[in-house]
Amino acid sequence: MDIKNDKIKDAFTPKHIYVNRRKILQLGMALSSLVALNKITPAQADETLERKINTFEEITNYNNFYEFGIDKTDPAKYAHKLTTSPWQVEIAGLVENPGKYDLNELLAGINSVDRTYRLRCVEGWSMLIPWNGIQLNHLLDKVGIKKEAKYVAFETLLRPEEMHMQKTQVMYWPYREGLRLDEAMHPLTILATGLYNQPLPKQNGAPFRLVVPWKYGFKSIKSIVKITLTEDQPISSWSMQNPREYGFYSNVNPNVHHPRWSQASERYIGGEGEGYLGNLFTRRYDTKLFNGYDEVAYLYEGMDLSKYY
Amino acid sequence: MPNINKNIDIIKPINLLLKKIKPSYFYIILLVPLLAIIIELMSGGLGVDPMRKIEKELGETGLNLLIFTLALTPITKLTSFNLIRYKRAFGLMSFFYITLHFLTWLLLDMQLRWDEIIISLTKKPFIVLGMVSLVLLVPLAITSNNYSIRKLSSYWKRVHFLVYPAVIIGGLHYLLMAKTIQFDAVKTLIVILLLITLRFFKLKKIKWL
Repeated sequence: MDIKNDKIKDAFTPKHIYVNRRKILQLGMALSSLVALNKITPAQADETLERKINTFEEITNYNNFYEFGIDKTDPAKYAHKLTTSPWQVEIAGLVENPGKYDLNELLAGINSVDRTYRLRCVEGWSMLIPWNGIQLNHLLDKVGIKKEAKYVAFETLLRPEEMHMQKTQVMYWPYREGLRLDEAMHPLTILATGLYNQPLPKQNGAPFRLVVPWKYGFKSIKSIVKITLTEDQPISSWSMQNPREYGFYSNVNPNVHHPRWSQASERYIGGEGEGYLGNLFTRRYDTKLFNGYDEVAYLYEGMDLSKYY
Repeated sequence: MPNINKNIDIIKPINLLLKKIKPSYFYIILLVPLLAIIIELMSGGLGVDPMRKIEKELGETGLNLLIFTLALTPITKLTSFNLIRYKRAFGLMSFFYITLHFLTWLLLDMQLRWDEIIISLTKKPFIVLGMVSLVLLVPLAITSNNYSIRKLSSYWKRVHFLVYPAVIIGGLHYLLMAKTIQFDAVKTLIVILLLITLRFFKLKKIKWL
């Protein structure tokens, strides 16, 4: 290399050397991350049986709640604007006792349950969360289901002055979701009102939200104001937004890939070490069909789950 | 009577100043974004899922630096400030960040799960776009030295023309990555298209008052 012809009057290190050094640096970083991760081989497929419950801080600072912003930290920042008391829930459609109920009235007399469930987001991460609440089927029995009812539809609050993103067109508001009646009646399906024995934080969908652990997280609709029993399949907001990517059922299924990313594995948020540096190494584990909740498999017997995704 | 030669009075001193700032300084200066990411990581500023944030910030830094590299020539033509000499440093550093972004995806995100990596690289549009963009930049990075300019002569410019498809595809990768249309990505794409349009127009020097 002819330094004398170098138009850029540079320092002492000839360019081809420091460009090579850069490449070495890059390679070095790659290798050291390999070493740090210990054994990141595809054989690392087994789920840990001893999964840690995520901390309250993790669960309340990493949320998809687009009403408050697109970033995962936006709900923690802005959800305080939400007024959750008083809270009215409308029960409508094919029920014996329709009407507008105060939340406490609605929940009165129903057994509390504590359920620690895995929540698997469609984006490919998951957490283990200790919910408190009630079984949905107990509430539905309380309001009385008419025999023509085939589905349950849910609706989130529409209040743009408190949920500022509802003033934008990023999604069709209010957020809506639905379940087939047998899915809604399954004992696993709960309405959560608390987390870690604390009242449900606003960024997690206060004052009450659905949790359907065998489906992708977006099905677990937050801050519910309306529950309708219907004969026809209800609207599912993400499905309306992008039908090719999000279906009505959205059962966690490693064999049905999202058009834009694979669903074969997920990262366990909460990492392998201490604190924020530990959270850096969120190991991937194989995703299980129905998020590992095989007790719901019978609901889908005979259904082609790649067609009904 | 107004001094018509006033514009030369400003340009000369600024260019003298710029001569003191050697392009090689930018190989260090442009490490600052990386340092910022590391500091944020150590102080918990990256939140509950630091890997995702790192992946995103590395990619955004890389793309923005690449765009800035493309802006250097139009700015030089419009202002007569000699900025073109910084192009190599900015270009190589943008490649550095884009490579780190890719390595973060490969090692920390996908964790060398090859079957999923292959599926993503072949079937998932926004990932394919990202890979194509990076691959297009590799010959540019390899030939960003005087030896290549001499050896390739007229071919060198042709190779470096690849920056235009690379930056457009990179912008599309950024746009299609999110679940919803993000304003930042749209803005970035508009800037890219503007810069590309500028290339095909003869730029007149701005008359300084």
